[in-house]
Amino acid sequence: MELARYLLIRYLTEVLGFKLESERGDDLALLDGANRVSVKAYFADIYEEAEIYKKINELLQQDCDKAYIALAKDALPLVDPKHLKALGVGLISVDPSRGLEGVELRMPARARPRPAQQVDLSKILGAVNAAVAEAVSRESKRIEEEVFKKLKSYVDKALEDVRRELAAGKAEQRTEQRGPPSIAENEWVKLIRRRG
Amino acid sequence: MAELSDSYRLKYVFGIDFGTSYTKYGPITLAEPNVVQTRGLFLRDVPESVKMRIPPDVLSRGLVVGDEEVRNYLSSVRDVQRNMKYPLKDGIARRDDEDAWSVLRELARYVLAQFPVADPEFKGWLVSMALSALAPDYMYRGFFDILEKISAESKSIYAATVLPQPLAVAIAENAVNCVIVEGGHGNIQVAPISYAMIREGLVALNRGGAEANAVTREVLKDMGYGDVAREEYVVETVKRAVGLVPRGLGQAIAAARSNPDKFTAKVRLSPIVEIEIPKEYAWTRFLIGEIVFNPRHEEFKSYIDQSRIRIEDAVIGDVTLYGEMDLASAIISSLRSVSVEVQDRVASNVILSGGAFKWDVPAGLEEYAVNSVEKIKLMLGEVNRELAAKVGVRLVKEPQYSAWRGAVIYGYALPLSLKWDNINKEGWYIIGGTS
Repeated sequence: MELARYLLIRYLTEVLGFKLESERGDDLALLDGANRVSVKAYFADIYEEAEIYKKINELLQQDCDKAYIALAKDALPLVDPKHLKALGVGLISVDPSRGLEGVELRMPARARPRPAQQVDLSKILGAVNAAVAEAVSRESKRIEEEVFKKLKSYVDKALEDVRRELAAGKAEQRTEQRGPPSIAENEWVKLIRRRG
Repeated sequence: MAELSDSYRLKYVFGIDFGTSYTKYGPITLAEPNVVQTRGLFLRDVPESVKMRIPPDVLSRGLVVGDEEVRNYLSSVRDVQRNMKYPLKDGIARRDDEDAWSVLRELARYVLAQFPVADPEFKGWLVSMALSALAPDYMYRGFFDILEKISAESKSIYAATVLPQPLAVAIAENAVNCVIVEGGHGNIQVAPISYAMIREGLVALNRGGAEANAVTREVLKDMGYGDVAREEYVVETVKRAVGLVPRGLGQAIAAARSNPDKFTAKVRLSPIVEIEIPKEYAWTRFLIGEIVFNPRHEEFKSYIDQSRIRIEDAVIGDVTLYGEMDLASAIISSLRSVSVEVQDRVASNVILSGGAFKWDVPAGLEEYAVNSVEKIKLMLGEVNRELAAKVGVRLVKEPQYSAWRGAVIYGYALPLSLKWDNINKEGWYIIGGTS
């Protein structure tokens, strides 16, 4: 099975031009330009249909732009191409007896949206809560300042009015006693009053 | 009718000075009156869509007054030229001009409504109105009728009186023996005053600031500024900026012709419009001021002969407004009606008021140009040296407000026991009374 794996890697790197990034178990991680390609190399003497679909399912969980499953040629009858097509997973068959030529791309993989990253809801909620708390406290401070300013101006104005009224009252008292200077000193006032 | 206390009068005398261009109004408590243009806009030819936006009470009256209010509705009225009404011409509203009287009624309602009173002791305004000295009898009756109607709606007027504007100016100036020379836009009134206005001595001239504007316009046209000369604002600005009153017209023109560089001027009307008085027209600056004081000069003849300027007599009621009479002759003619005994005292105090006498002397031209006070003294000196030696001439302290101030002082002093008398034109017309 090591030969099959070896041929697969050569095919991927030499024929398709991918760059091998890492190998872990039966998972190969490669780069096609800027795209990440995951290949599940599943080679066994005896294949079980259920096991194949389990591997395909594992592939789907991986964070990549394209995904392939590589199987020995004998396993091909066990795979439903329609299912793979629907999932967008590519299929590569390997026949070690034919060397590098025995490696064939049976079905190309479809570029797929990367699976959403695991979202830590608690973190987001925490951040949202902190932002909201900050905004609320900022807004409440602003409102507090505004209300204070308005109240101050109302109070100042009211005080000013009271002062003015008091001053006007005093002025009026003076006027009632003597009349405004321009009127009191006007010769015409005496003259016209005599006409009554 | 019970006399109202002095303290009541010091609060509730309301002065209105009906000028041809502006109405000055307000209670005695104001330091300076409010001012509104004497005009009204009729809401005729208003599209249906606009009508829906106009408050029903305004629409039912069909007329708006007040500077702000008129501006608000200007765009709603299709034919502004036809629907904007200036009710007073030379201070007079024609008897049969219903639109003019509607505007005056609305204006009176408007000015009184500006000062609502909540005082429980308020019995109504004592309204004191200053009208042109030329105002005929029917105008007095017309204004009393207007106030009757307003008070029937609002119960806001106790009594009303009218005094001629020259008398109001004399009261504001605290001058009991004087000659008031009121120079307005359309006419000049010369009124002798000795403890009252001497109506027989009233001399009116059918010219004023408007004629100075007309000369300015003709000069602008001759200089090639005919396009901008159409705008009244331009003419007024240029008149104020370059118009000069000559010490003597002949010498001033000769000096301006022999040394024109000294008399050229530039007026910047806007960042892109500048008017330059070129050398060959520099002498015409003196014509602008001179026409107010004396239009009997050869230099004006060519304008008059070509009918570019009209200087002619006019008759309002039983008063003739002289077109060509010079101001010195007008003052002397006015003084003749004053008792010889007090002539000296009256002549010693000639008071000029109104915009037609607002002339400046630019620095450096003192040899040739004078202000109005100096000009009147010079003119009187040419006609009668002896009189000129006794005459004192001065300008009023507040040209715009003196008639209003005089009106409120008159309203404060006039006893309520003196009922309105149509012959003497004096006393209070009690609103809702029998007078």
